[in-house]
Amino acid sequence: MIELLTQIADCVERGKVDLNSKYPPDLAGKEGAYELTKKALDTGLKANDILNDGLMTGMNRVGVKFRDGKIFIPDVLIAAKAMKTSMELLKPYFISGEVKHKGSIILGTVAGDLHDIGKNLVSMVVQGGGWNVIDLGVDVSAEKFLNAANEGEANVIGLSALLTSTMQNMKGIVEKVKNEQPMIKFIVGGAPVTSKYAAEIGADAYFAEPQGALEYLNSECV
Amino acid sequence: MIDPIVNIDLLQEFEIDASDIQISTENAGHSLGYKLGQTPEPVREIIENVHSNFSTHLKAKTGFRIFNYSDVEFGKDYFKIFDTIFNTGRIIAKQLRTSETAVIFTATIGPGIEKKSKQYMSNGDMLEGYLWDAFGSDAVEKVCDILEEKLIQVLASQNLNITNRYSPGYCGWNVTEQQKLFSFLPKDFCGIQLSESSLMTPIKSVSGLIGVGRNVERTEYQCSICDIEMCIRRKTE
Repeated sequence: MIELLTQIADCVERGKVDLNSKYPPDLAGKEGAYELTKKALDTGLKANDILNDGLMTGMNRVGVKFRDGKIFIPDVLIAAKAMKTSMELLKPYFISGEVKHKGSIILGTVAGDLHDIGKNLVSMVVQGGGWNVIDLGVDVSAEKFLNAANEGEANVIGLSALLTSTMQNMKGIVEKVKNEQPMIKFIVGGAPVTSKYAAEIGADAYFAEPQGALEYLNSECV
Repeated sequence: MIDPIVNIDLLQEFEIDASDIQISTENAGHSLGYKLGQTPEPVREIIENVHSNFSTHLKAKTGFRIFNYSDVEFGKDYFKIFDTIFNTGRIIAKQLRTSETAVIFTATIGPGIEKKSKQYMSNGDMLEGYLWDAFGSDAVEKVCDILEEKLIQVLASQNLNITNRYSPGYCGWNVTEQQKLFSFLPKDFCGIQLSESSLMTPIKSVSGLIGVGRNVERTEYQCSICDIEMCIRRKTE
């Protein structure tokens, strides 16, 4: 049983989606995350264990490697595909309540900015860490963030910006939402953003990479 | 004595043949962060697939407007064309300070690559979508390189050089200043539209400014002038 979970974690880490995946070459022709997850469910393993000890373990390794500069964006995307394929099999268990997300986070790229890769990476890594993501997309206004916050599902918002200029829009968003929802936390990221800037605009934390964001969510927002 | 060619207001627009936009698959991997020759197999395979197909989705255009030297002024943290002041900030202004006049330019590869990328992403193929997008980003920079070469040709006989290109949104120059840049160009120049929130359509488009003068030069790397420490391009250089 434990072996199966280890294999699932390895498949996610190495981006082995399913039996048909040619990569990585040493796993060609072998079962991937999809088949192993299915097998784990069929053999009676709890969906929650598959999530925690299989998928999350694998994706956590990916996040750490990305943080340490050992892998790059394409590698994260390959791993995320394997994770997502298995997550589809766990969906019914989320719906039934047998498996619960750790919490929900609202994510969006700020108004005036169309760059979404950074946001998507955070989305994949935090989903892989057991979080539900409410993705508002790109070019998101303060109003939209506020409306999403008012829905009450999430207690944390993640803002992304790639440009020095659009980064400035983070301030207005934080102010507007915190004005009505003072308890909601903000994490910010993106190429020009710094922890100093995050503090200046009243955000709760800044992260240069998604793994840091996940670790913050797990420690401060559960 | 400023050369006569800068003593006119010159506007030109070009269509760029897709075959002129060359992107090597090795460089594509390198720009994603991999060391040369070390792009992993699945990524390399998709890069090669994108590489052999992307040119059919390109509709590249570029164009520029050179201003009369007497209509342009450069300051410590700004430049001015006629009565319009562009607040570039000090980083860019410093790079332009020896310029005698300026060129406003735009470049685009059209909407095809963006459409292809979105198709893949909406089907859940994030890697393919990302790599199409990355190729699009490289391609539009190549169009800008071609523009620079055209400018150099236009200005060379007059012993005029150009600076690097600078765009709103980078190095502290606010992206909303694109509105000012576009106000000096004809409507739909190069097929690019600018939204009220200063986003260009097609997305894979670039606008900006290049300084022109006898004592200016282009430099190979610009990371040293920029304060974005986490930029992926900085990491891979």
